[in-house]
Amino acid sequence: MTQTAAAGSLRSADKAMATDTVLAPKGRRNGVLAVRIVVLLLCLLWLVPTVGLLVSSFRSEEAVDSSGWWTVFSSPLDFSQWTLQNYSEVLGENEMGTAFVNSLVVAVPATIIPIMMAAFAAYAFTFMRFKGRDTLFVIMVGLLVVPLQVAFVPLLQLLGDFGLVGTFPAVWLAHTGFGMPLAIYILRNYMASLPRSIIESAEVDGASHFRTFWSLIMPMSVPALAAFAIFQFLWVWNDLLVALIFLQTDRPVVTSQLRNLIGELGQQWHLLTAGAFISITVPLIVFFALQRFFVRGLTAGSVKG
Amino acid sequence: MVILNAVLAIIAGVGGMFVFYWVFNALVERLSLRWERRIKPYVFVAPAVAIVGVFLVYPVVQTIMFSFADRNSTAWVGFENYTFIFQDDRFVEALFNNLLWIIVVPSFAVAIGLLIAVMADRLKPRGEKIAKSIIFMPMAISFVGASTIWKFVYDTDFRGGEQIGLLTAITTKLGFEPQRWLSLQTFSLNDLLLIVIMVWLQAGFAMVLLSASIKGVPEETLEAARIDGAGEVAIFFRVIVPQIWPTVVVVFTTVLILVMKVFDIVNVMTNGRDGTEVIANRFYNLLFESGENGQAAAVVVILMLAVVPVMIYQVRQFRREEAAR
Amino acid sequence: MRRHRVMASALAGVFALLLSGCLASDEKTSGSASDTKEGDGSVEIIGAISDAEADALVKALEPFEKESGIDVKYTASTDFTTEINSRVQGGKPPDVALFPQPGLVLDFAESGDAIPLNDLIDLAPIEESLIPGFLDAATDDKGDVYAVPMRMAVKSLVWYPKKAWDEAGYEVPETWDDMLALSDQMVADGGTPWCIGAESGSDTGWVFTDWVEESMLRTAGPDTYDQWYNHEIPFDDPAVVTAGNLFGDIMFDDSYVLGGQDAALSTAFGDVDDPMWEAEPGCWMMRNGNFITTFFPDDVQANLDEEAGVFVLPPLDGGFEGTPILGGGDTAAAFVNDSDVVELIEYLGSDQFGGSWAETGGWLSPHKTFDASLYPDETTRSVFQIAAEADVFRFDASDLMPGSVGAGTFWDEMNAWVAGDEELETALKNIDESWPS
Repeated sequence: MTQTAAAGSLRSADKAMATDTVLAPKGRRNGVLAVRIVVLLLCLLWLVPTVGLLVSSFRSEEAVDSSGWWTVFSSPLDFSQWTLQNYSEVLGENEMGTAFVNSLVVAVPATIIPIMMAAFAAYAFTFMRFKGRDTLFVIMVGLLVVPLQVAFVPLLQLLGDFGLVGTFPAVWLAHTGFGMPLAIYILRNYMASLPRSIIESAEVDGASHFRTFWSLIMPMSVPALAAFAIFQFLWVWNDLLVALIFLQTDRPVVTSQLRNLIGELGQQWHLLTAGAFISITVPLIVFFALQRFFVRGLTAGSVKG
Repeated sequence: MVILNAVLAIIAGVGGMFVFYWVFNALVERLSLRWERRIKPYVFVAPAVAIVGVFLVYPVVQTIMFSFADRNSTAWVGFENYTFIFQDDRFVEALFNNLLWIIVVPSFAVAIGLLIAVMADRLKPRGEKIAKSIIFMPMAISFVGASTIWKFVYDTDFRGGEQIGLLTAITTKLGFEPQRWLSLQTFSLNDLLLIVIMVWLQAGFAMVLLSASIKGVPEETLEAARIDGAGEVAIFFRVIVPQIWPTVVVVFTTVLILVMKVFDIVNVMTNGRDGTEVIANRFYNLLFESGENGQAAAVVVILMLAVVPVMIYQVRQFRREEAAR
Repeated sequence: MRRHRVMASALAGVFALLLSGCLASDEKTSGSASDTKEGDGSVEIIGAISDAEADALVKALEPFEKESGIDVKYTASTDFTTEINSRVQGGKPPDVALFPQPGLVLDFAESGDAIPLNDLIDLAPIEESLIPGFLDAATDDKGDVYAVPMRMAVKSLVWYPKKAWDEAGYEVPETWDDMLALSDQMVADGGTPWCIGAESGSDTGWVFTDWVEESMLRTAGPDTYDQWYNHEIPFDDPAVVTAGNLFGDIMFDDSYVLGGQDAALSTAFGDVDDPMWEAEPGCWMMRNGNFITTFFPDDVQANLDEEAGVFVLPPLDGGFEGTPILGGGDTAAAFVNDSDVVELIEYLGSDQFGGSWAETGGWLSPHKTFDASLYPDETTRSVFQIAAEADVFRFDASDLMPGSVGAGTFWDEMNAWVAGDEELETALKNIDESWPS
C-alpha cells in the first residue's frame, strides 16, 4: 500500500516537473531537465533497497527465501503471494502498544532537553566572550569520537548511586549527554552564520542576552534546530543499547520489543521486515512535520527586520 | 494511565529544564553589570558542560586510566596494552580500513547530500519534499532494518536455488559467476561494499543539514547574480557554495568523526572477517567478547588520539571565523 | 598566553580527576561467598532466552513461585553479553543470570562477581542426576562451581528427511565409515549427501567449530579433548590436525556438500535444511543441535515425528570407543547472595524444573532422571535418550575456551580454512598464537 502511494507521488512529481519545464525560460530548460534526471536517478538508487524490504514485508518467509523480491513485479496482482502475516504477528505482540508509548516517553524529552541545553551553550559559544571558550568548544567536538560503549559501566555505577537506573530520567540524561557534542557543534555553526549586526543592535536597544537569545536567535535558528531535532529524535527512537542498559528491560521500547520478537537464535528474523516499517512511521512523521521549517525566507525576513 | 504518566513525565522533564535556565538567568541578572557579564556565559554553558562532563568526559578519563591497567582493571601494567594492540594484526588492519572509510564516506555522503539539497531546491516544493524524503529514509530505518535490507542485496545462493540477493541476481544474469561479496578482498571490494551501506545511510544526514543551510542563503544574492547574467552553475559555485561553506565543513567533519567509530554495519555484516575489521568493532569484541578491559580501553585511546588533527583543524577554522566577523 | 593558562588549568583538572579516581579495588576475591542474607521475597533474572521461549520459562517458574512465595521476575535481554557485562561491572547485577555459554560465567568467577554455588547449596544430589560433564563446564581451577545447568542442547545429531529416506531405502549408519559409505551411495544415486551452512551474522563459524569438536571427540577421545580446551596441549597439536581433517574430508569433497565451500560459508545455519524437505531432497543429511528444529519449515515442524528423522553422529572406527555426545546448555549463575536466590538456584538446578517447558517443546532437561514422558514428541524423547545414554558427554569446547578464542579466532580461522584461504595447520597455529597468556 505504502508502495503504491510512493509510486503515485512519484508520478505527480513528474507531472509537476513537466509543467515547470514548459514555463521555464529557454536557456534554463536543458539544465533543469538534467537536474531532474539526476535527482530522479539518485532517488531511485536510494529507494531500491528500501522497496526490497517493503515488498518482502508482505511476503511469506518461504517466498522470501526462495525467490528474489523483484520477481513479484512480474505478476503484482497475484494476491496469493501477498500476506499480512508479518504485520499481524508484530502488531499482535502483547506490550507492543506499551513499547510505543515508552519509546515516545524516552524520545520526546531526550530530543527537546539536549536541544535546549545545546542552544544556550551554542549561543554562548557564538556571541559571548569568556575564558576557556575555545578550549571547551574544541573538546566538545573531539568528544564526538567517543564510542558510547565506554560510558556504560562508569555511568551505571554513577547513576546507580543515585538510584536512577531503570528510570526515564536516566535515559533522558544519557541521550542528552551523548547527543550534546553534535548538537552544540551544529547549532554553533549555524548561529555563527547569523549576521552579527542583529545582536549588536539588540544590545544597543538594551535587550538582555536572555531576551536576545529567546526572541531573536532561537526563532532565526529554527532550521538548524529542526534539523538537529530530526536526527536526535530518530537516533533515540532507533536506539537499542542505551535503553537496554539504562532503562533495562522491564520497560520495553519498540526496538527491544522487535529484537525480542525474532528469538534468541533469530528464528523469526523475517518479522524484522514488517517491524522495520512499523517502527519507521514515527521518525518519518517527525521528519515531515519538521520539514516545513526548511523553507527559504525564514531567516531572510528577520535579517531585514 | 500510562499515557497520562508519559505526558506528565515529558512535561516535568522539559519544563524543569526551562525553569532551571530562567531562574539562574534571573539570579545572575540581579548582580552588578560587571559580574553579570562575567558570569552569564557560564550560566549558559554550564548545564551542557556539566552533562557532557558526567556522561562523556568522566568515562573518557576512566578509559584512559584503564588503558594502563590489566584486563580486570585491578593493577597497573604500563604501556603493555598499547604494545599488545599494535602487535595485533586485526587492530593494524582496522587502522588501515578506518582510513579507507574516512577517505570515502564523508566525501561521497557530503557530495550526494549537497547535490540533492541543491538540485531539489530547484524543484517544485512537492518534488523537493519527495526527493528529500527518499534520501532521508535510510536514516530513519532502524539499524536492524537496514541490515536486513542489505542482506537482500548482497545475499548469494550457491546451491542452485534462485538468487534472492539483488546484486548477485544482476551479476549472474550478466553471466558472471556468483560471488560471496563480503569476502572479496581484491581491491578491498568487500570494504567498499560495506562503505556503500554507510554512504546510503549518511547522505540523508548531510542533505538535511546542507538543505537547512541553503535555505538560509538570501534570495537577494541569487537574484543579483542572475541579473548579472550568471549561469546556474556559476551561481552555485560563486554564490551558494561560499555562503554555505562553513556548514559543508561541519557536515564533513561530523560524518568523518562518526565514521571513525563505525561499528554496527561491520559487526552485523561481517564482524571484521576477511579483512574488514574496523577500530570500533575491535574495541567491542575486546571488551564484551574477550573481557579485556585494558586492551579495549587502549583501542579507544588510540581512536581519541586519531581525532586530534580534526580538532586542531577545528580550532583554526574557529579562529578564522572569529577574525572574519 | 591566556590561552595557555586555560589549557593548563584544564589539564590540572584532568589530573586531579586521575589522582582521585583509582582502579577497582582488589578486595573482591573469588573462591568464597559471604554470609547469605535474608531475601526480600523477589528475585530478578535476566537471560538471552526471548519471546515464546521466555513465556515458557516464566511458566516453568510458576510452580516454584507458588510453593516458595518468592516473586520471580524474568526479563529477556536482547543484547545479553553487553548488558550482563555492563550491569555487573557497573555494580547493578541481576540476582540471577542465565548464560548461554559457561565460559562467560568463569570470567565473572575470576573477577569475583559470580558467587560460588558450592558454598550456597548442596550440589551432590544435583550432580548425581545430571548427565556427567555439565557441572565441570562451570567449575573453575579451584573446583568451585559457579553455575547450574537448566537447559540442555544436544549437538551430535544428524537430521534427515524421513519419508524420502525410507523411500530410497537408506539406513541409519552405525559408524563413521558407514556414514561415508552411505554418502558415497547417495552420490552414486545422483544425490548430494550433506547440507552444511554456517552463516550466522557476527557469530558465523560456530557450525564449523562444532564439527571440529565432534571430530576431536571421535578421533582423540574426551581426555585429549579436555586438555585441548584447557590449552594443556597446543591448539595445533597433531591430534587437532587429525580431527580437523576428518571433517575436512567431508567439507572439501564437492560431491558431498551441496554448493560446496561457498554455500557452507554463505548459507544461514537456519536455512540450510530447506532443500532437504523438497520432494526430491537437495541434500540428505544435516548435522546440528536439537534447537535446529525450530528453524524447520512450518509444515515439517507440525509433523516433526513423521517428517524428520534423527540419528546420533556415529563413532569413528578405530578412534575413541563408544559414542561421545557434544552438547551445550544454558546455565544459571548467582550474583547476589540471599536466601531467595539460594532457593531459586536449588530449584533451577534440580530435575524438578522444567515440566511445563518440556511439554511446550524446544527444551531438554540436563538431568538423566527427568520424566521423559513430558516431552511433546518422539523426536524430542529420542534426542533426550541419546544424551542420557551417552558414553561420554562433553560440553561445546568453544564455549569453554576464553572468549577471544572460542567466540573469536576459532571461528575466524575455521572460516578462513573452509574458504580455502588458509591451510588447516596455519589456521590452527594462528589460533594457538591468539590464546591469551
